[in-house]
Amino acid sequence: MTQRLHTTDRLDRATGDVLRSLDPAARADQRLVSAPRAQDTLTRILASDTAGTLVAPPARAGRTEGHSRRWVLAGAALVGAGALVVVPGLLGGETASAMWSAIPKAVPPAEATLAGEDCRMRNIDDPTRQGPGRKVVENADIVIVEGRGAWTYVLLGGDGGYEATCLLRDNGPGEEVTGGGYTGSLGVEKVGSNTVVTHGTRAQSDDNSSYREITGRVGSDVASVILNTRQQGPVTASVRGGYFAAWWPGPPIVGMEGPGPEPTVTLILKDGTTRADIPMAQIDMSRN
Amino acid sequence: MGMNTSNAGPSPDREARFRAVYEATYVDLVRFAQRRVHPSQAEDVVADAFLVAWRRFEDLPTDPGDARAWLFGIAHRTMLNGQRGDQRRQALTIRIADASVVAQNGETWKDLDSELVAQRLDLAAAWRRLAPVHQETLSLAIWDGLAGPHAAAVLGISPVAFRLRLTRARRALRRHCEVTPAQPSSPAALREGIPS
Repeated sequence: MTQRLHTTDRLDRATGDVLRSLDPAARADQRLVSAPRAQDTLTRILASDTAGTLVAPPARAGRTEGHSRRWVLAGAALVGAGALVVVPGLLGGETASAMWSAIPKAVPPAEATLAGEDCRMRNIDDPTRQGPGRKVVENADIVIVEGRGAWTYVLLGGDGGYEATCLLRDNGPGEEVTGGGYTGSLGVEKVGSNTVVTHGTRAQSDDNSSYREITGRVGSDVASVILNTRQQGPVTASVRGGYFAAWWPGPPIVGMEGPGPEPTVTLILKDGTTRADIPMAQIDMSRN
Repeated sequence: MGMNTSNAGPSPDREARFRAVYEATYVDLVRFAQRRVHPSQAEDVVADAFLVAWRRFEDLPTDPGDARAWLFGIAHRTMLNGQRGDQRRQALTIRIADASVVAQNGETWKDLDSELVAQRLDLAAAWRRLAPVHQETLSLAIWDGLAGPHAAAVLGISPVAFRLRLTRARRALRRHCEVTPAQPSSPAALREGIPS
């Protein structure tokens, strides 16, 4: 028993000394920074691409950027076909490296952290000041980082239902980084255990291509979320930490035609049950 | 979308300043990480943190103490983000040394008096009973040597909130010492490795 601890709310000197002696990192050598590993890391960082240059924040929901780029909200849903497509125009040109996949792939943890912090930085440095405040963005969690072809998609989640997404494509050292995203707030207190909630799909288009994205919260019994999209058929969402998110490309949204029907949602529960083709109207909190 | 990065390379001043900060804080950051993840992963965490710092160089505080706390904050978020599922929002579990093998300045276990050995065993056992949030608070104050405002910055809370946490953490450690009998026969049964 360590009696000296019992006198005040502060730790006495002897107890503090004992606790200090139990530091698990006390043996780290000061010369570690001169070791090859640390110096190699420094060299790689200094040679890395962005050199600390700040990039513009992602586009904001409801905000028009340029003459041919616009955010639009989608309507109802229809099932389509196709698993792999070339992502054109807005999404980086028709190259093999831009292949998009209906099933997301995992991003290695180190890369995921970088992508997440990159997304955070873009939102922290938002010149429009339309976001929820720097503190909320700084403390937001990097909830989902998924890969689809050459694209990395990030979802941040924070206080007050704060959400922000970034769709990123790094074209290599010193080259252009392209990306989009949105900032919003779902404001959901509770989600039924066998369902999901969202605030609908969002679409962005230029004259050559478009993409749609959807984010939301999942109930505790939900194992998988599949969007039955008109543009790409079934799209498997990423599910992590109580959130789901997905994006998919499509043709340009021309004139006043609108983005077309919204997807339905199919849920696979942890007990193997499937809830198929749930209309967006049932899970879109912005309509309820 | 057109978010362009500059093609210009980093300025010599920027590089020199970053190099100086790197040299001055690398080992501190490794120690910070070693307390929170398995030692084999600590330098990976540090590399990620410094890369983020390089990309956010404009935000790097000029004051050395502020810069160190800022870097700790980045590393802290990196490790929190590495946790899975429901654990993400929780505090990091902080490791503690094996009280049965700790020796300083060349001393051996046999050199230590029995009271000191008992204190170490009690404290190590009590530490294991602490909630992660209390471990984190005490670790920042005692092992990382951070003043209140800097520790608060690492956690993204106010200095007042950190002071309250510190008071609660000390009380909690005291309570656990009151109910934690010394276990000299099994001192090595301390949790190690990746935070759970």
